[in-house]
Amino acid sequence: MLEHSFMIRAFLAGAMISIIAPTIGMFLVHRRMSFLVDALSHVALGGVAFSFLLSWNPILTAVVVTIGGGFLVERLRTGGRLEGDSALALLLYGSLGIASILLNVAEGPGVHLEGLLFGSILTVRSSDLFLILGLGCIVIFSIVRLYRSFFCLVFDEEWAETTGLPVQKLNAVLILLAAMTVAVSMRIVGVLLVGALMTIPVIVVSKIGKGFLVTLIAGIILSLFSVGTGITLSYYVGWPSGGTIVVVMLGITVIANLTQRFWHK
Amino acid sequence: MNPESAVSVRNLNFSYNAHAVLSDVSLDIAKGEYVGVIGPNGGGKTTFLKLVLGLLEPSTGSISVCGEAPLEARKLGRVGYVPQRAVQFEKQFPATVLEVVQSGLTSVPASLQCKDAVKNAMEATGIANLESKLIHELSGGQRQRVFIARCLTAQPRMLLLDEPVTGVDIPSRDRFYALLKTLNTEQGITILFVTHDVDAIAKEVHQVLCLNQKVCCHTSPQDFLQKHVLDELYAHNHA
Repeated sequence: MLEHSFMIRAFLAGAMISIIAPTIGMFLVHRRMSFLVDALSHVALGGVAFSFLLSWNPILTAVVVTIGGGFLVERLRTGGRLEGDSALALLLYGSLGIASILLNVAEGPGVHLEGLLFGSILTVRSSDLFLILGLGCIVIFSIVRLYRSFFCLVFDEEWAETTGLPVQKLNAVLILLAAMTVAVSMRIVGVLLVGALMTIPVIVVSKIGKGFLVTLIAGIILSLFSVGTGITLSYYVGWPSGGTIVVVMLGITVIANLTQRFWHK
Repeated sequence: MNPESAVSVRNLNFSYNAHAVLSDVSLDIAKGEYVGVIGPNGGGKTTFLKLVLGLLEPSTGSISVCGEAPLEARKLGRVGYVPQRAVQFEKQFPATVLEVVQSGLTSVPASLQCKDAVKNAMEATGIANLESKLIHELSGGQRQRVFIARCLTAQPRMLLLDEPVTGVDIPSRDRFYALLKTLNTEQGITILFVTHDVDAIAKEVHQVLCLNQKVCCHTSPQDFLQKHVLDELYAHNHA
């Protein structure tokens, strides 16, 4: 399996997204912003469709478009023009509509809709890998640098504001990082399943977590294992990598729950 | 402005949507005081705390906190705030007590951070034995102690508390008041807390500040109770 360079690229890209997706997801889930990921992933789809039309780099275009979408939601939400959910719904369905038209117009040999929606291990090119690793490092560095501020923001925004933390700026950075993570992850897990990689590990480990940092690390480990297993299975069985990763993750969750129940009997 | 005051307010007015919330408020709260803020709902108590914190800007008038503008005092960590959050708390949040208390240092400049700040704050509030517990596993009274410890890590000169014992059982409430008294007497921290609890006003504080759009009285608890200010205030509000 590892004699194929595309598999090495898939594993490296998978390792990076296994670290950044649950990390950003940890802050979004506990800030009750899980739905934002879905909206951003649909914006990313629009970005990729746009890149096909203009023959631009799909990941880079998706990053730029998704960041724009994230800030638009935040502006609509904080500006009081629309409630949080309404702004997200507008963005999600609007992006999906635009993406479907652009994909139809751009239809050609380079457009693999299934891989785009559900992920594919074959689609990570060398240039994509460098982008994924580069952007992933920026996300990791930002989180390490702002970890405590994000913790305060997520745990108690009202209090964070009283201590002089720049709450609005932190919100904006969190959305920016979420947008980058979504765009970076979509090659492996697919646009429709990016949200799963960002939320399922967090939801699973938060129940057994023994502290915020410990929970975050446990989420990353669960994610690394699921992505590694999912990519391997995808290679041997030929299933879409995104779906396989999510099924592996759910399988681990069920086994962990059953084991826990059996243990406590 | 009185530089010796923890809070100095002059001719303060605050309006929201053309509705006057506070009118012509002038007062001084001395350093080391323990003040209970009381008044009917909508009387401007929480607004007053937010003005002291610098979260709201006065429409007119001025306010200084420990000799600084409120925003500056807040950024320097001179004011700690304990919100009314003991009961309504997200159940799945996986943070430990230690992590919550450590978060108090987030906005404190490294040069002002005390090496043992977290340890000292946890010992002062009696939660050192709870450090590895998850925050949602604690009782309401214990959580409020954690939130006070979080403020104490920044070594504030003043604590503002907004109805801190709402939903807290009586034994925990008594322990909580004892803690406030200790912080006030032993560490000299000025305390300003909003409450509806007349019992606490009678037993705990040095001064009562009664607000209902304006300062109805700013006096000792004994004087406050003798004058039956609240009876007049609520009778007037219900009339």
